[in-house]
Amino acid sequence: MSDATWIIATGALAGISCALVGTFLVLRRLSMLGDAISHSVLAGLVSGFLLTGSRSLPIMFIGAIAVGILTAFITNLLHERGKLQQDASIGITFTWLFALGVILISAFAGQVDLDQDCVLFGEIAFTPLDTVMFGNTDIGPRAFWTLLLVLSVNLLTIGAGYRQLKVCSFDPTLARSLGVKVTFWHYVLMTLVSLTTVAAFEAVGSILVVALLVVPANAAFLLTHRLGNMLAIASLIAVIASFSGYHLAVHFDASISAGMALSAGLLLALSLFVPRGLRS
Amino acid sequence: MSIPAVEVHDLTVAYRQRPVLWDIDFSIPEGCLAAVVGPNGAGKSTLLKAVMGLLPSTSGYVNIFGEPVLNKRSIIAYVPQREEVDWDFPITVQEVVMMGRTGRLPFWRRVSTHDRNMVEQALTEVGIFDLKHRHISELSGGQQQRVFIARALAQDAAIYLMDEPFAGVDAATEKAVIELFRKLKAARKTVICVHHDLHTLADYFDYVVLVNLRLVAAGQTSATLTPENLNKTYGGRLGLLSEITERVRKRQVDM
Ligand SMILES: Nc1ncnc2c1ncn2[C@@H]1O[C@H](COP(=O)(O)OP(=O)(O)OP(=O)(O)O)[C@@H](O)[C@H]1O
Ligand SMILES: [Mg+2]
Repeated sequence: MSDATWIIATGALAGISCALVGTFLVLRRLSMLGDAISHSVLAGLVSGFLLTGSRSLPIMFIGAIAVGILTAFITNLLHERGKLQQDASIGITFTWLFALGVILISAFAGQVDLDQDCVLFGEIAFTPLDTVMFGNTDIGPRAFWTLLLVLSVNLLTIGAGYRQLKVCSFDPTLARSLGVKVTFWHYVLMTLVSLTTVAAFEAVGSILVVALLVVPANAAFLLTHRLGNMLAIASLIAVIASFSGYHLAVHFDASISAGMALSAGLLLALSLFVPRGLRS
Repeated sequence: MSIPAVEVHDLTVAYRQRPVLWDIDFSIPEGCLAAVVGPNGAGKSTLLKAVMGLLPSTSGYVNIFGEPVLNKRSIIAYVPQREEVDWDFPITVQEVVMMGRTGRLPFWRRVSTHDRNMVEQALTEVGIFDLKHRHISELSGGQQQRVFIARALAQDAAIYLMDEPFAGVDAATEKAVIELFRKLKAARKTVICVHHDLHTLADYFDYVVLVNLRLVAAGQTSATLTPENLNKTYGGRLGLLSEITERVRKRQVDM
C-alpha cells in the first residue's frame, strides 16, 4: 500500500475509534471530559516511562488508563463533593494533570524520549515511517495496528455493553432501579476514552484527537434520531474527514492532521443544513 | 394487619450533608392509589427517589413488602418528572418503553416475544401505539408523559412511583391515566404519585402523604386531607389555599 493509503487508513481508524466513544461522551454532555483526558494522559505516559524505563505499548496503555480514570475520578470528586460546576471541575483537573505531565517531561528531559511537540501536535504524516515487521515482512505502520487493536476493543466493549451504556446514558435513574451498575459502566467508558485517546494521540496529535472525539459525534447527532445510527454515521463522518482531509492537506501542502480536523468541522457545518425532517 | 407495600421508617435524606427530608415515617397499604402532596421544593421528588433506594439515606429505612428496598427494586417502576428527562437523546418511543424490560439484559440474551408483547400492550394501553417509531422530542407534553407511563406498565411492577404524571396534560389524557390507575388498583397494584392539583386529590386518591421537608400527615384521604393539614403543608402561602380549604370543608359537610 502507498503511504497515502496508510495515512488515510490510520486516520480513519483513529476517527472511528474516537467517534464511537465520542458519541457516548456527547450524549452524556461530557464532550470536554474527552478533551481533558486527552491532555492529562500525558502525565500517565511519562510516569509509565519513568517508572519502568519502557516505552512499550502495554506500559503506555496502562499509564494512560490509570491517569484517564484518575481524571474522571477527580473531576467527579470536585463536582459532587466540592460542589464545583462540572466544566470547572474538568478544567481544573486536566490542566493540573497536564501541567504535571509537562513538568515531569522537563524535569527528566534527559531520560524521557517523548517529544513534547510530537505529543501535542503529533503528525499523522510521519506514521508510515514507523512500521512493524511480521517475520521478515513489513506489515505497515505501527500506529495503524495499534489503532486497529483499540478499535476492536471499543467495538467489542460497546457491543457487549450496548444496552447498559444506552440506559445509563439516557436515564441513570432507571438504570439504577433496574440494577445496572451505573458507576461501573461510567468507568468502562472512561477506560475506553483513555485507551482511544492515547492510541490516537500518538498517531494524530492531541488537537485532532479532540476534534475526532467531539465533531463527528455532534454532526451525527444532528442527522439521526437513533443511537445505533448515530454511532454508524459518526464513524462514517470520521472516515470521510480522514479521506478528504488528507487530500485537502496535500493540495495546500499543509499539516494532514489539521486538514482532517478542518474537514470534520466542515462536515459538521454541512449537517447543520440538513432539514430535521430528513433525520433517520 | 397485612404487610404494607411501602413502609418508610424515620427516614432522613440529605444532599451533600444538607438534609432536605427529616423524620419521614409512614406506610402505604397494598393496592391503593396514594398521592404525595406538598409545595415546590418540599422534597416530593426526593421522597420518591428515596423510596426507590436511589439516594443514600442519613438515617431510617424503606421496606417494600417487609423487605429492604434494595432487594425489591425489581418490583418497582418509576416515572421521572418531565424536567428530568433528556428529550434530545436519540431514542424512539418504542425503545424507551423497551428499555424498561431489557435495559439490564446482558448482550447474549435476546429480546423475547414476551418482552415485545408487553411493550406493545403498554403502548396500546396508554394510546400511543401509532407513535411508537417517533423520536421522543416529536411528541406533545401529554404524549411524552404517556411514554414513561407505558414504560412503567411494561415493567409489570407491583409498585408504581410517578413524579407528577398529570403535569401539563390535557383533561382527556388525565382521565385516561386515572382510568389506568383504577385498573392497576383493581389488579392489587400500588400507585404512588406526586400530585399538585388539590381539586382532584380527593377524587383520585385513597391515600395522601403531605410533606413539606417534614411529614405533615399521612393516611386515608378522607381523614388526612383536612384544612389544618393543608395549612401546615403549604404554610398558608398559597392564595389559592383558602379557596381549597373552603371546598374541602364543604365536601366534609356534604359527606
Ligand atoms: N441533586 C440535588 N442536589 C442538591 N439538592 C437537591 C438536589 N435535588 C433536589 N435538591 C433540593 O432538595 C429540595 C427538595 O427537592 P425536590 O426536587 O425533592 O422537591 P419537589 O418537592 O419535588 O419540588 P417540585 O414540586 O418543584 O418538583 C429542594 O430544596 C432542592 O433544591
Ligand atoms: Mg419534584
